[in-house]
Parts: sequence; structure tokens; C-alpha cells
Amino acid sequence: MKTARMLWKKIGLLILGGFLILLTGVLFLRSPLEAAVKKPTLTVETPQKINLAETETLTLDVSISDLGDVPYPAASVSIRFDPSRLEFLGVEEGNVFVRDETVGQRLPTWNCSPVQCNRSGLINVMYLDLTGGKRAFDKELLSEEGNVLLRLSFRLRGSARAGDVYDLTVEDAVFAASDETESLAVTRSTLRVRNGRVIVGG
Amino acid sequence: MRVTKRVLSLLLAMVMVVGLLPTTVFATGEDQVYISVSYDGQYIDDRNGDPMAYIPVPFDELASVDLEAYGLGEYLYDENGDGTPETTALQLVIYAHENIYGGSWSDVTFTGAPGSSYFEGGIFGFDENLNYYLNGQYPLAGAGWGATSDQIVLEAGDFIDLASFSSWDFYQDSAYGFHFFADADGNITHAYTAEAGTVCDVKLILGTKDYEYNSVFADVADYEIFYGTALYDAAGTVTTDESGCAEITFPTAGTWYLWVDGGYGNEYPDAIVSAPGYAQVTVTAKAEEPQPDEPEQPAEALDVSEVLEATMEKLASTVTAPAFGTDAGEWTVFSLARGNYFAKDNAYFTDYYSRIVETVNAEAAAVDMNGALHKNKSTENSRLIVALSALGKDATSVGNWDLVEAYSANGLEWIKKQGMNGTLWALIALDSNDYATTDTTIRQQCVDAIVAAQHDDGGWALQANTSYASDPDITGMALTALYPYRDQSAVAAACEEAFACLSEMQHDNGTFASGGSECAESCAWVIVATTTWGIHPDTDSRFVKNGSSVVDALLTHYLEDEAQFEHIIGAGANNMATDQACYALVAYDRFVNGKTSLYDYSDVTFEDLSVGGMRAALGVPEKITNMVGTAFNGVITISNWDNAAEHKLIDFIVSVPDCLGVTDVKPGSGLNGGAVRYHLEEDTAKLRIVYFDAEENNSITHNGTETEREFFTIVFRQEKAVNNGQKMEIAITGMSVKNSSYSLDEDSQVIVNTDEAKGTVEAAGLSFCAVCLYEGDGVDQIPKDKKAVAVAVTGIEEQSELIFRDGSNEIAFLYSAEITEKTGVGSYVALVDSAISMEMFVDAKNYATTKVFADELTFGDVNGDGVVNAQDALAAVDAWLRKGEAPDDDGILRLNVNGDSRINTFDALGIVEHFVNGSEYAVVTKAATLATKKD
Repeated sequence: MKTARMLWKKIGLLILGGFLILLTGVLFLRSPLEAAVKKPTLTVETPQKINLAETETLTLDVSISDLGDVPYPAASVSIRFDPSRLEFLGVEEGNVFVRDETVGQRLPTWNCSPVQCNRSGLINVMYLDLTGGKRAFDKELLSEEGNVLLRLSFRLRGSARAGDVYDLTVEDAVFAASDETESLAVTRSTLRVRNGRVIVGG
Repeated sequence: MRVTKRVLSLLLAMVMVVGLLPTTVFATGEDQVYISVSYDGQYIDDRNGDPMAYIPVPFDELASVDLEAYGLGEYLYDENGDGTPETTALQLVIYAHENIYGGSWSDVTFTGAPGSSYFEGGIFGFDENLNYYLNGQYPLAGAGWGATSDQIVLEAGDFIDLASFSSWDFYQDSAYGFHFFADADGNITHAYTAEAGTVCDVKLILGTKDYEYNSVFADVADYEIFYGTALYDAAGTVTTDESGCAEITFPTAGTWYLWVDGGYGNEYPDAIVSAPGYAQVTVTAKAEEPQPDEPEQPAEALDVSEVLEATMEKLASTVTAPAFGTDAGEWTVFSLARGNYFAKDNAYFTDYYSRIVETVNAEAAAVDMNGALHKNKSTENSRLIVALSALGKDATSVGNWDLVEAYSANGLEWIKKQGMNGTLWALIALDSNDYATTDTTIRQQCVDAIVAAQHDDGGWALQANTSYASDPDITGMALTALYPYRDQSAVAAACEEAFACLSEMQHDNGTFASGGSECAESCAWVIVATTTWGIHPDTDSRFVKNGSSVVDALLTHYLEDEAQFEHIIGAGANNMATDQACYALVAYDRFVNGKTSLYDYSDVTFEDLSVGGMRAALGVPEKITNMVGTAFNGVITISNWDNAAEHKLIDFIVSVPDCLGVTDVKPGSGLNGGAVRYHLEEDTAKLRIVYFDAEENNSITHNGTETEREFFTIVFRQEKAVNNGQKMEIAITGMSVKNSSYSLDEDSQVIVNTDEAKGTVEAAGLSFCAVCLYEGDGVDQIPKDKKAVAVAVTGIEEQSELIFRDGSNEIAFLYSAEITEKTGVGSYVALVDSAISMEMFVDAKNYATTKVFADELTFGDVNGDGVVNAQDALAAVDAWLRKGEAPDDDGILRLNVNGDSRINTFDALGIVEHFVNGSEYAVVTKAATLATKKD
């Protein structure tokens, strides 16, 4: 009887120990996970399935979730796509502003060449502030939700087929600070990206 | 290092002779002095593109070169102390630099002190590595001490030879010196006299100095002397014997030139170490020899103007709509054009041209032989080319076709299918507008064929067969066709015999017969031939029999009432006889009125088919490693491209040596709107390239902003083993840009000038080429004592480590994949001390290579993370704003993408342009000159 009680006691201790180990593990894991979620993220929208017969322009948002505490006088994004199936038409303005000392804020002018993008299959867009930081991206200018950095316009080419999926892969992106250690960059793993895709329906 | 060089340069450049007693024989013109300027053994071009060889300068004009006005008052030299400065070589050099070379004195750095001055840079575009001689001698200020230009006192008749060299070792070589021609006594001369057809003795010597700086002259044995009627346009060469002597026979009277190039060294066999030599020869005619370029003016020349005017009027009124063909076609147009009956823009001619375009498009497409208008009759092309050229039309672009290409593409076999007629007219057609041919030998093939077909009696017939009697028509045509080649001794001899033959053929009544019949056409062709050669057909005794000249004879065939000519007297008017008689009268009328000959179209203004002067250029490396499998790039650029012109297609042909293959043809980074297609024909070694948008017919654009933009890169590969030193010539021809397929629209096609689109690649061992990309000016981040250097290394293993060591410096060069791709040769960059001479960077002994991979540099990748993006562009902005520390050498190379002397926002924008548009960095474009730079 005593032996059985001891056995149950040991089993209880084992269960308690296992629970404590599990709990400790969850606590250890939780912190970095939350940190990762909070890391600024650049997202290329994946829209609803596109109808093959759709001939209108297809516009995809490229959004930024957050920025650091420093100004970012330059930013660039490089997105790979399939120019044989999608025709890139250009960049449209989003709703993320940069600072402007006279009017407070203004929409950034993105440099982009659709001709070159369609030729290379790589959408390269860049914003550069030549004023020394007076027209930089700033966290304070972000809204609570829906920070669309820019919008990408496409049209389906005749070669598109129902059921096709066209990836839009962010190869590089950076919000550049003068102190590079403060920059948000894919190459420094300080900027996360979420790729988009276009799905073609019947 | 720099100081050492300057001292050396000073020693070298020492020129001055006080009390020097010239032993040379001076040329005529005692009120003049003379100057010659050369670089690496060849005379440089003056402002007009002519060689600067023994250029006379009025002595009095040197006094107008006021040294004080140039800020050189301290260099005024009063040798005899009479209070009046002497005229010195410095004034001659300044005068020549500004007035002959066309340079600006502000470009020249003249430094030192009186009596020890030197040109540090800029004079005639040279650096300080130059040397000059006075009257063929090393000028001395005193024993063992040279004189400088400011204290070389000139006298009328003196001559200065100034030579610059790329090798800094030239003066150390035993073959160093200045070449001169000499008379029988060994004295320098720049002028010989000779008689045409008679041997002229010439002698070549080398002026140099011994170890005590005494001038010495040596005979130059086994050396090639060039001669021709224009300098650097050789008609032939001779080689000197052991005494430096050679014999030359000048075929015709006139002014001829002799010259030699500077030679390679003995101790420095890769360097040119001597200056060129030059002389002029006045060749007088033999007794009774015709004076080709100076037509005799008869005392009483027969006036044919009324007959000519009436004949042309008749032709114009009866042949109202000339079209493609022998009758009522090209010959009528040709006569009326060369006779200036209608203006070139008259509807008579423009309507004819429209009809021709339609015909050519149809015929050439049907024949399908590269622009040939008939499978067997090359004269169809020739006749049309002769007529169109007379109208100022470019035969390389008629409708959709290049009529000239047919000769090269189909070769002599096609040309000769019509016997002598084909060969003769091909030559006349090609020379009517000096048309370039893709087969550069085709002209000479024709010349050789014609000369070889000459009959023993000196004449020619339709066939090169002695069973055919010599015919005056064909003989006249042959003489006309060969006239541009009269400098060739074989041609000159053949033509001399031919004129004698023609004279023999002339009948007692002054006429000529073909096939046994005295006819107008035979007389006509004798008149054309004689006037072409400057022989008066109405007065030259060889063509006047019993008081009746060949012109008189032709006029006996004229029917005054009808204003036409008979083939045979009494046979009635004949169209062919009228056509040929008409252009013979045009030839005669032009002759007696001092105009160019019938087929000399130098008086015709040709249409400029190029838009805004579009010109193509080809950049290839000077040398490649001589090894099967070696690849290199040929970069094709086009200048003055206009995006607004909405061109749809570019096509052209590249002549590729048979030892090379082509592995790829790529569009330039800024070229948009189409795709490249190409094919290398194995039989002809012609690479045909076309760029257009086959699907959507987009217009071609180029997003470059520079005048000369990169359009294509051809990747060549050596396919066959060749001898070391073999030179492979690559040339672009027939480049056109088309706007539409509607060939009748004159604006549908434009021609790109390809005169300079050629290059030569030498199969060689390891070699270095270097170019200075930029030097800092100390204003924006790049120190004044730093310069960026790019080096292309032929034969180096891919990305091998390259270390520069000159005893004072050790520099690890950074591998540049971008420049390597551009040049096709392993290329490196480094930021170095500005004082290191560029010459040091092309000297193989200053380098070490290892198997270790060199560190790589990517322009614009400022932070070196392997990606060029906004971070890098911002770094350029911040560098200009002076945020943070100044960039190190590596950072300067990465940042200064536009290749100027500063790092500023232009570089930031350059990075943006590169990122967004794929535009090539200016610094890379600049480095591409390595592809064509001599080492």
C-alpha cells in the first residue's frame, strides 16, 4: 500500500515536473515570437482570385506595418514577377507620407521605370530624399491601420491561363536611415516581408 | 617618382644649339621654318586632319607670337645682347600648337626656368615624354647639356622635329632617333626630283646622339619606305639596302611623297623608339606623257555646246519618263544629270527615282541575291548605280535594297558572267561614289582581272581571249575604269600601252570602228577615256589623223535636223548611239570647261541619309590572349540617336574574321523596344544582326542621355589557332534604321554612318591596358592626390588576385565584374597615388598575380552588402552632406559612380538611375574605353 502511494506520488511529481518544463518552454518561446510579430513588415497584397476575362487594371497594395524611431530619407523595394504573364503598368501613390517642412507632409515621389521592369522581370522602385532628411519617412506619419506605401498596377497578358499562380516575391527592401544600423532592411533582417501572388481563375 | 620623371624628361627634352653648325641641306623656302610633330612613330593630324609633316611656317609670323602676351616674358631670349629678343623654337611650337594643330595654349603646362624649360603636358595633346631635334640634330646648349626650346634660336630654313612617345624608355634604346631622307652625299633632304617611269634613288638615315650628346647619323638598312601621291595613302613600298638606299620608280608625273614610320626598339622591342621620316618628290613627266590631272588646254578647242544642248533637249523631250533599262532609261538620265540639263530636284529625276525604287524592290526580291537585279547581269546594278550616283542618290539604300552589297555578296564570279563588261562597269559603279564594300578586296579583284585580260596589242575586247580583236569601246571603258588606280604600276603600264593601242586603232578619217563598222559609240568611248585621263581628244596628236580628231569623227554621225546620232553613217538615228554620243559630248564639254571628268562625281552633292549624323562605332580590345576559346566583346555604339524619330528596326552586317565565332549578341543596357536576332553565315563570315519588335512593332528607344550610346555587345570567341601577332579586323557595314515598311517613302529608312565602325584585335600574350577613370580635385571627398585607375589584363585567369608593385607602392587591385563584362577582358580598379604615371600601369613587370581570388568591387554598392538599393543612394547623399566619416579608398570607388572628381548628389542620382532604369554607371562606360585603348 505504501509502495503504491509512493508510486502515485512519483507519477504526480513527474506530471508536475513535465508541466513546469512545458510552461517554461512556452514562456521562453513566447517572447521572441511576439518580438517577431512586432518587427516592421512589408507586405505585398494577395488579391482575390482574378478572372481570366478580366481586362481591367489589377492593383496590388504594398504596405508597411511599422517603422522605427528614426527618420528614413530613402527607401527602395525590389519585387520579382513574371513579365511574360503580367504586364507591369506602373506605380500608383499610396497613403504613407514623408515629412515636408512647408506643408507638414507630402506623398513621396517614387522612381520607377515600367519599361525596364517589364524587361527585367524585377520591379525596382526607390524614393530618395536629397534634402538631408527634411523629407524623410517618419513613424509619426503612419496611421493606425492601412499604411499603403505604394500600389502596383498590372494587366494580365494574353498568355495568362486559368489556374495560374504568379508570385510577387520581394527580393530586397530597405527603409534607409543615415545611420545604417538604424535602417530597416531585408539584408539586415530588420525588415520582414510577406510576398504576394496573383491567382487566375476561370 | 614624379620628380625623377621630370628630370628625365628635362634631360630628354633639352634642345638648344648655340653655335651649332648644321651640315644639312635645307629645303627651299628660305623665308620659312618647318615643323614636324609625331607620336609613336607617325605624324599626328593637324586641325584639318592632315599629317603634321614638315609644315612650313612663314618666319616673319613667328615674331607675332608675343611671349609676354602668353605670360612667358621671362623666356624672352636675347642671345647676342643687342636688346632685341631672338626668334626661338618656343615661338614656333606655340604657333604650331595653336595655328596648325588647332589647340589652345591654355591646355599647355609649360614650366621650368629659362634655359631649362619643358612642356609638362598638353602640347599637341602630349604629356612631357617628348623630344625635339633641330635640323636633324640633338641641340646642345653646351657640352653634354641640351638646349630647351626657349633658347633655340631659329633662322629661316631651319626645321624642328618634335616627337612624343608612349614609352618612357624610348631614349634608352639603341634604335632611338629621328628618321630622315638624305641625298647622295648623305645630307638630310625633304625634297627629291624624279622623272616618271625612271628610277629614283633615295636614302634613309637615322639622326641620333652618342653618349657625349654629339649628333651622329646612321644608314638605316632593311627598312620599309612608303610612297604615294598623298601622305599615309601608300601606292607602294620599297625596302632599303645595307646602305639605307632604295630605288623607286614613280609611274606618273606629279607630286609624290615618301615616308617611313618610327620603329620598335632593340632593347625595348614592344616600344616605338624612333620618329618618322618624310620627303616630297616632284615627278616630272616623260616627253609626250599625258598629264593626268592637268588637262591640256587647246588653243582652239572645238565647241560642241550647241550640239550637246540640242541633243540633250531632244533626249529630254523624247524620253519623258525614263525608267529602269538600257534604252530610255539610265543612260538618258545619266547624260542629262552630268550635262546639268535639269536640276537634281527636278521632277524629271525625282519621278524617275520613284519608279526605280518600285522596280528595285520588285527585281531584287525576285532575284534574291543580296541586292542583285539580275542573276547573271551585274551591269544591271552597275548601270543603275552610275545613274543614281549622278543624281546624288546613295546606291546603298534604294528602296529596301543595297545595290552595292551585291558585288561583295555574289563575288567576282557573278560580276564576270558578262565578260569584261561586267568587270569594267562594276569598277566604274563602285568608284562613282567611292562606295564601301563588305568584301574589301572586290575592287582589286576587278582591277587585277582587267589588267590580266589585256591583249598583247594593249587593247581589250569583250572577252579576255585573243581570238577577239581589241575593241575601242571596251578599251575606252577599261581606261576609264582603271583611271582611279593609275598609281598602281601595273595599271599605269597597262594604260600607257592601251592609249598607244587606241591611237593605232584610229582610222585615217579620225574615226574608230567596232566589229568592222565605223560607229559613233566607238568614238564616244575614246572621248570618254581620253578626257578622263586629261588628254585632249581634239588636239592631242595621238587622236588626230589627217587633221580630223575623234571629236570631229563623232560629229559626222550627228543628224542636225533630228538632233540625234547615227550608229553608222547613213543608217539613221539610233537611240544607243545618241545616248553614248550625248554623254561623250558631256565628257568633252566638261573637259574643255575645266569641270571634273564624266565619272568623277566629286562635284555631286550626295544626299545625307543619316539622321542627325547618326554614326556607329565599334569598340574591341586591342589585344586578346592567343588561345582557342578566348572570348571578348565588341561594343557597338551609335551617336546622335533620336528617340522621337520612332525608329522600328535596326539592321546591319558585321564582317567577322574566319578565325572568330560569335557566341552571343546582346542589346545594350539602355536599349528598349525590340529583341536581337542574328546569324553568322559560315560561307561569307558575315554576321547579320537585326533588332526589332516582331510582335508589337514597338518603336526603338534608348534611355541613355550621352551622345554616344551603347546599342549592342557582340561576344566573339576565337575558334581557330592563329599566329601570335595576327591581327583580326572586324568591320560593320550597311547599318540602317527603318521607320516603316513603306519603301517608297524616302523617310522610311535612314543610313547610319559606319565609316569608323571597325576595329582590329591582335592575338597576343598577357598584356595590360589602363585608363584613368578620374582624379580627385579635393573639393568633395576625393583627395587631390588620388586617382582611380582601371586596368584590363588580357590573358589573366578569371578574378585572379592582381597586385601592383613598382618598388614604391604596393596596391591590391579590386576585381570589377561590371568592367570585365563590358570589356570582355579581366578588369580591375584601384584608387592610387596621382603621382604614379599611367605608363606604369601598362607595364607587365609592375604586376604580380596569384591564384587567390581578388576582392571584388561593385560600383554603387557602398555598404558592400551585395545589393545596390536606397541605402547606397542615401550614403552618397550623406557623403556629400558630410554626415559621418569621409569614405576610405574603397568607399570612394564604390560611391563615385559618375566618375567625376567628386562625390556628390550626382552619384546618388546615378545610383537611383542604375537601380530604376538599369542605366550603366558613367564610370563603367568610361572604363569601357579600355576595350579600345592601346597598351
